[in-house]
Amino acid sequence: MPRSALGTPVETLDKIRQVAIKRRPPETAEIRVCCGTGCQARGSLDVLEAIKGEVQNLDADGEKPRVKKTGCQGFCEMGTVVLKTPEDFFHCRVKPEDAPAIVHRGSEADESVRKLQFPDPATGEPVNRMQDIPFYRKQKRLVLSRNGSVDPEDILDCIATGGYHALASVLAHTPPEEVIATVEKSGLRGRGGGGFPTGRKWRTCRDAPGAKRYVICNADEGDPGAFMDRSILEGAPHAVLEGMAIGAYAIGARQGFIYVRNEYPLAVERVTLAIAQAGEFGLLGENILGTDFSFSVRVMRGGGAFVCGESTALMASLQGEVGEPRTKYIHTVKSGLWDCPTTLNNVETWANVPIIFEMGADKYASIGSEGSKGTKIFSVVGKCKNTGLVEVPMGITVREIVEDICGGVQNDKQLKAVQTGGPSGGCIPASLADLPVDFDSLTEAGSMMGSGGMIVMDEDTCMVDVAKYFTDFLRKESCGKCTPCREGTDIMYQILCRISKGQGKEEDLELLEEIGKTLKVASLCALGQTAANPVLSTIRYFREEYLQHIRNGVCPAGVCRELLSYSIDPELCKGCGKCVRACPSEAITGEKKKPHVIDAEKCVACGVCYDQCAFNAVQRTSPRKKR
Amino acid sequence: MCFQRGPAHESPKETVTMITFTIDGKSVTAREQDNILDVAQDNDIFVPALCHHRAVRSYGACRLCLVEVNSGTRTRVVAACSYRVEQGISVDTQAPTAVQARNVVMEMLLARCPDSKAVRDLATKMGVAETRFPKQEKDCILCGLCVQVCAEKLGLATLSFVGRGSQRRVMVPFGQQSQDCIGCGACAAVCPTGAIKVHDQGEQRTLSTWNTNLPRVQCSKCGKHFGTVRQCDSVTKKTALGIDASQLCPDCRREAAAGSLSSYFRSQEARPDGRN
Amino acid sequence: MDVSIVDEIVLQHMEESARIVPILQDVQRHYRYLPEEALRHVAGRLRIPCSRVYAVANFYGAFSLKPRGKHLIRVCTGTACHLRGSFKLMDLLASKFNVEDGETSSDGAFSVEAVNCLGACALAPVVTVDDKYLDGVSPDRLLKIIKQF
Repeated sequence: MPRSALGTPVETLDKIRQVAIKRRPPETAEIRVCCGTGCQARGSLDVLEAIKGEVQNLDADGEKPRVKKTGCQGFCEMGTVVLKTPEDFFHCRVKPEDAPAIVHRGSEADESVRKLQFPDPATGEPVNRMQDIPFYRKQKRLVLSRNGSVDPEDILDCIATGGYHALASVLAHTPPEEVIATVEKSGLRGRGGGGFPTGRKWRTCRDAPGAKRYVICNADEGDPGAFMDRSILEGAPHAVLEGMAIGAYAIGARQGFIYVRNEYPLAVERVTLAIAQAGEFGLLGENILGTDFSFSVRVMRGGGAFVCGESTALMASLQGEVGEPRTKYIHTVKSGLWDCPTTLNNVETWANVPIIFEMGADKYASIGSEGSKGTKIFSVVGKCKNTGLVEVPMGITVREIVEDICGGVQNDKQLKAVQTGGPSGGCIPASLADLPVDFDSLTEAGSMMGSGGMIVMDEDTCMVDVAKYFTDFLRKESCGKCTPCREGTDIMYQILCRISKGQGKEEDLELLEEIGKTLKVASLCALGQTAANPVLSTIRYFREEYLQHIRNGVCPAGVCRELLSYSIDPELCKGCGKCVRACPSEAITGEKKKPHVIDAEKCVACGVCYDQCAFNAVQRTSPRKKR
Repeated sequence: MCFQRGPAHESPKETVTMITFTIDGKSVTAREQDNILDVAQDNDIFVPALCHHRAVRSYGACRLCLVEVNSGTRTRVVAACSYRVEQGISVDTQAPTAVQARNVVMEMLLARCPDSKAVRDLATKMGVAETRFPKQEKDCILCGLCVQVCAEKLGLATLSFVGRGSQRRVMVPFGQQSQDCIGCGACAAVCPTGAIKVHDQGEQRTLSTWNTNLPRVQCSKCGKHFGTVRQCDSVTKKTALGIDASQLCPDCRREAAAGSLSSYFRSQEARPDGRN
Repeated sequence: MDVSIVDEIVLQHMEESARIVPILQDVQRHYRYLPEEALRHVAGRLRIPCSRVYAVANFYGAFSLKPRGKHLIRVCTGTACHLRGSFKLMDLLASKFNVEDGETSSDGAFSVEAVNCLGACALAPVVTVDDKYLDGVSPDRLLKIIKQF
């Protein structure tokens, strides 16, 4: 067993860990400010500075609390989020001027603190501690555990809390064959949407001939509404690096790539810094922890193309070409990047690997459901009260996520559907909300779990519009190489446009179904093969809604503009003029304090006046009134 | 021009593993790296295709060559041009799923290029009479043969696919005459729909599709114009025989070669013992 | 046009043609778009066909081959933002300023890009102005921001 000057790999890491703990004693109280992209947009960096300033002015009556930035804690609706340890006091919607209240607070909350606390949805009373907040109570945060507690820009903080221990143990005790067996035993399946058994992937790759092989981390998270991978990379980059190192060791790779989509500059920054820091401590690069295992990682940015989330397109992009997929009759584990055996896994998949080795494959396999082991992170967005990231054991139901964790639908509206799997997925109607969320159950219902994006839709969401939205997305993102996807997505989009304008025909639904079937069979890659899913699943569960558009020119949800008329109720209108200013087509006229009128000829039915009116004076009807 | 029927890749001179499998119940043999489409064609079994050519690598874009493959463990529909033959598989070119899919794909192509004779002829052969989809007026089916021939065979890579989705088109960079183009016309020769136009008139060769005008050379013997200056320079350089390819047109060159050969043979006949 | 910066950038990326995408991103950062001359120069320095550089520049959404305005407004068109009305922002830009996706205002003050999900869905509708993230943007607020340009 090769040794570094400090001993075996575990001994070496332990020595680094002792240094880290000494510099950051765990007993010290901390004030943790979330600095993920979401909270930063709400000014969390200013909050961080304000709190630092306030702490500096504290009388040094004991040890001052450590103030640090952390990764996305998931409760994005409530940003900026600030946590105070050891009590785990939770504060939300924090502004810089709230710094004194947080720094000086005691265990009881006074007025200035109470307004920063999350109100319990049942009692209305402010909740003190993070674990008592319903949003967090039902979660099982394994991958995201570091996101709220560790400073992603400080590797010592990560090591102090156990980071890289799994890698050190593996290098010290576990031959590559056994590493693969452990991953197989854990039941880990790919988290990027495909759900392929990770252990099997690694095994096939390891067995493929070829001296040079690669590992890739797919961080091209393109599903609109999904930001799990962004948060993991911003908040726990070392977990990903550690997972990749273990994987590289198992399959015999020396070089890894992290392909991050162009739209995630902070993630690129954090993971680049993490790689540099890991190199400094001998955790990446040549002779890791004194062993003869060498492994380097390079970060590559995408250029803005959803199709580059597909593995062969991603590899083409890494090779400096356009992101065009190729057929996968020969798998990339045998012939991938530069025609070498390549193991490509999603960010969340890599982040799960150290956890498996820390807790053991059996314990890991005890979490989740029969065919879907472990936890899954979902980004729940849309019309629910608490949007954000949730990590839950697989097998939990859609309803539990939407209602128990995310507080149900906003404004007490009715849940209509939940979209999962992004543009490759489909809608689960409210009637099926008790379905378990895992790899297999949703597929039967015509959707798929996908990478974790979960979009909550209410009665004001038009399912025809949803299908149109996703189809439009796909036709713009289609690389255009193969006939069915290129022509088919365009044709489907045109049909959906007609339907949403009240120009649909009954045969359109059958035609859409036939095009969908063709795309599934004939397309070259998974983008095309799943491109019809949004249309097909909405037709399956909301056929009536489509027929209303086609037969009656009615959009029940009030979204499809050509089928709407807006007018102002003179009884309710106060003549405040807000709608006049908001109208993009200058269709509203009226004197101050007198009832206003919408000119139907000029009105484009955008609905901005409807949104703006504080007196509910704007009326919306469907079908459109004859002009 | 005619292209050799043969594999696009060079086979090394070693024993090649032979594969046996069935297509439509008929037992066929093939080499290890062959694809199903080539083998079907060699055995006179019709599978429609538009983007396939033996001179270049399989691209798999048109998706007309769909067939069903049963490998024992699974059955699926694949593009015959991109699927390497495997021992013992059974291929069904008439499987309903495959046929239905390729027919709809043909409807899409008919809608895209309604005036293309090549597309219409193939549609007729496939039994696809008309299309249900809105008609466009394009003449290019984005098969990529022009791009591939220029890159793989000429080594020039003048053309590329530009843009995504329905915006995708074949272009010369910036839509302007390219320094890389030698005006050989190989792109036009390989184009299945005739979408690429090459026009010779006197001293000019015009490839209007690529916004390109190139001067032609003139035969020093008969005065006929043939080839472009760049094309002849390229040939001169590549053959590296010290012969200027722009001097004689192919006909006059043949005549000259025949003349020298005849003189040589005559000089041999003059010596009864055949020795020089 | 001074293309010496292109030489520097190519060198920084170790003249690796596999790094064509990050190279073009750095070139675009300098010129604020990808000028034709710069693209041709990149092809020359990397010794790859011009057609390949042109294909890459046109394939990826991050690249613009047209000069952009002084300020860059990116409207997120992710699902959450769409459900919360991001299309109304695009409508406003089209109707009040005659600017569609990928275009620049007539006075060159700003350019607009409709971009894919930025991953900040809790803040829907999300807009970035010169790379600064703005949360929960209404048409009214966008109007105010543009008036300040």
